[in-house]
Amino acid sequence: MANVEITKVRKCFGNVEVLHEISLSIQTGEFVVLVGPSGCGKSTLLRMVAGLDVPTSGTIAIDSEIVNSMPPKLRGVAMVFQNYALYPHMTVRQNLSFGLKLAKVDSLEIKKRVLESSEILGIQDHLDKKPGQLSGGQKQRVAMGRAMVRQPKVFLFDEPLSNLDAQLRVKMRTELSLLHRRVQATSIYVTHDQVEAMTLADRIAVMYQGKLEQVGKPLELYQNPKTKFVASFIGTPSMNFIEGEILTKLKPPKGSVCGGFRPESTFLSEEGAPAKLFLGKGRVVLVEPLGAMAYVHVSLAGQTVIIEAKSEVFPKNEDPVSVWIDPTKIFFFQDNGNRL
Amino acid sequence: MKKDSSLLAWGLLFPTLLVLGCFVIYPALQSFVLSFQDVEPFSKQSFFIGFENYMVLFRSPDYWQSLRVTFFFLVMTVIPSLLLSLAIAITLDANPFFQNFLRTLFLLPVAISSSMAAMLWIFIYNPTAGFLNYILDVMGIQGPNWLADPDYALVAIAVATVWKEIGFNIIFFLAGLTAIPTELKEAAELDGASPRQRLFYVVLPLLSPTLFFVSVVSVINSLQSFGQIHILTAGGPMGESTTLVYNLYRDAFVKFRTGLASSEAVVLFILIMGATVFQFRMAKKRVHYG
Amino acid sequence: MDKLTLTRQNKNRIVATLILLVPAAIQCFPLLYLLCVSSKKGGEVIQYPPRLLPEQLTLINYQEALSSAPLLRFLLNSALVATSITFLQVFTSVLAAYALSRLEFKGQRWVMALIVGTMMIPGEVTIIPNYFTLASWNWLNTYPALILPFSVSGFGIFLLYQFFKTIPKELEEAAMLEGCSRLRFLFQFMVPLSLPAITAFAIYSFVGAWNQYLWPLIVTQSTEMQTAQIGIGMFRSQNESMSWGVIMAATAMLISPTVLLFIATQKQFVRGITMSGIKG
Repeated sequence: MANVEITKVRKCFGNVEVLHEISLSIQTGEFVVLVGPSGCGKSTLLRMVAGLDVPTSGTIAIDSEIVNSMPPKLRGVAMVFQNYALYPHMTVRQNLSFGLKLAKVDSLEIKKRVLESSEILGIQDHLDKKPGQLSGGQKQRVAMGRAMVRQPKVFLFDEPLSNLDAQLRVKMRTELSLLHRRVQATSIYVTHDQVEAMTLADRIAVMYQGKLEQVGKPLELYQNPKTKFVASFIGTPSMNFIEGEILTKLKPPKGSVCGGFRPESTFLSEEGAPAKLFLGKGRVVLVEPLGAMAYVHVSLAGQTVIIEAKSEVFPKNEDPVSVWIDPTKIFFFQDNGNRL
Repeated sequence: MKKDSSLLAWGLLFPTLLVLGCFVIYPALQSFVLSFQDVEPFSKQSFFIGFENYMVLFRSPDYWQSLRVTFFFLVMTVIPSLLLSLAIAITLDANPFFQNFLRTLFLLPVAISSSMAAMLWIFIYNPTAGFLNYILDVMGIQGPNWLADPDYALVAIAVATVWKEIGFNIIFFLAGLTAIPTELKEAAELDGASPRQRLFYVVLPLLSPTLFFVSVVSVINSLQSFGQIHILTAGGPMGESTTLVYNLYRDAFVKFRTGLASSEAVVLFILIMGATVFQFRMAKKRVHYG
Repeated sequence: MDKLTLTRQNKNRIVATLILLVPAAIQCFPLLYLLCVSSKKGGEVIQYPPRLLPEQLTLINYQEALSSAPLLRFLLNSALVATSITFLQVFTSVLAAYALSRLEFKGQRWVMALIVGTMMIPGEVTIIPNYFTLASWNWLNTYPALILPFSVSGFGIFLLYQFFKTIPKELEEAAMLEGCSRLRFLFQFMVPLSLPAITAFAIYSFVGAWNQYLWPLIVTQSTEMQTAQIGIGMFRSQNESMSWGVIMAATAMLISPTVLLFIATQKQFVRGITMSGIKG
């Protein structure tokens, strides 16, 4: 186990700077998720920790040792790839033991570790099959097993669940979470799925356009987003934003301001929570019933607001409605996206 | 509806079946029939003579020589061209400087036919004014009269053939190498494999379908070589470069021994089939399909 | 740090470049040598010790080659024969592949097996009877003799059959519901959608046709009918006494069209050949 220290790392491809001075420190045993839309540079950052890419400037240290010029095999990292990258011509057993054989690990020890990790992952019955004969979930487990047997200092995951169907993805997510609690290995996990990030991470690092927007515990990001991007990226459905004039008794705005409020702190009636703020009247454009609640999309002053409605009777399309918000749960953002 | 489509289908297939019938299936069967016949060169009258043609063939030392020559030629062209093109393709894939220029250079012979390739080499092999013997002379070696020396003629043809074939093979190897997912090479790198180990444990096994395909095609091409032999040596000296195909050509169209040549065609067909089946058998164990 | 790793990457590239230097030199030597010999003056060609570069550049060999043999005619013959074969092969393959992949009829599997089976028959097996057939039709030494026997390609049918199979059936059903006929669908949808495969096969077919040697050697008798491949051999044996410079000049002129064509269309060329190989 080891900590990972990323200090002022920049990466340029030709003239394009894809990562701007990223600094991030990951504690021993911590599970950190890098999340952001595609193209934000999260995979590049992960590949630099692995040693598959080289930073243009800045340093990466694993276990307090700078590894910038160290080849991947000496770094003690193991990586789970998005498309698994299992060797198609080798059996599962050969896939799992390949790295250990290259490292000249004793064959009894290899056998032991392969058996151990395949039991943990529940793939012990498939050891003599080739990857082509496995289902998506099984391939996924083999890919994780291949990382586990090497007992690396750091686990790296590059969108490992994104090739699975929705149901399996949820299941594997849970398993991964339990596995991490058991193994307590330092892990860096890249995904574009904020739900995965929220459920797996000890800490989340939100990246956007090559910059770190915010780093923090999952709930901290949800409850206290520092930028408009984080506010909009974390949480489903996305936070509502209203631009333009805002009733200003609460905070004095400087220049043009944008107010954000989550669907669950937006209401269709004044009842319930104290001191609600009237936002305006609008028309229902879409109702998405989910059972106990529904997401109601309301067109209001030319913008669409999503409301999490919890009543038994949901409004219908075209119904005129009034919208209230909880004034204590409004976030204000400046033009540059920073929180006021 | 179904009747319509059946009529249309046969209509669309008509030209294909007509040509295949006239120029492939009928002649293939006819060759088989002719191989059991003696055909008079001028009157074109033919008589059934059973296996006589085959007997003549296998009693002829010249035919055995052409079998031997064909085998040596096969070994001298297929193995070097496979190894060289594989090595060059792997190096080209390692992103050298001037990659595009180098690739074009190596692929260029694809655009050159075997007879033209022979013309390119014919003067290089010239015993007195050719460049090859000049270089050997500078190194203090007396170069032979390449194309007229029974010991060297076949080697000389093989070199020109390999020179021409390499480009074709490299195309396939490069395509095969690009098709190997980068993640696999990266995964192997993270697993601690050195470049050499990556080559032998990951790249080559994954390239094995391409390797198999290229070797099957190379063997067939080599067995069918004709143009370069016709131009460089015309089968000589002393029959040392007379392959099966060349022998067939001479018997059929120079000596007009139609029946005999037809039996040679049948033997050639069996040999090509045999070589291909043999390779498929070998491949079953060693080729990994993803 | 940064520079250090850069040089490590560059080191690999430099090593790869150096390894390729010798084979690259060998690979381009015959072509350069061709140009050098063909532009040397008569006596200089057989001078000993030979010099690689000509003392004096001259085009006289090229002039002499052009005046002593119809080189242009050879090239035109090759072009005509190869283009016709390519066109016919593509055309017949498209029709047959469509019938086999999209239409239902009795005996479909037998026809497919027959066509695939013909791919196994090497040309040497058929040349003798084909020669007699064409002789009996009095077709020897004509363009049809050079073209017709090769107007169908089992391989082309197989390649396009595979490709046509990948085009969703729903597309055809949708078009037919809108009143599109089978043939119209074939030429307006299937063909454009299969253009990558068709181009690939066309290139493959053209190269094969252009490079043919044995068959044209047998069926052409007069100089006017010879293709470039045959013409160069004849030119050499007829002018053996002539200067090598002239022979090399003729070779250079007959080789240049395909070499230039290759350089101009390398990408499509390579794609064509790989695609034919991988699918086949």
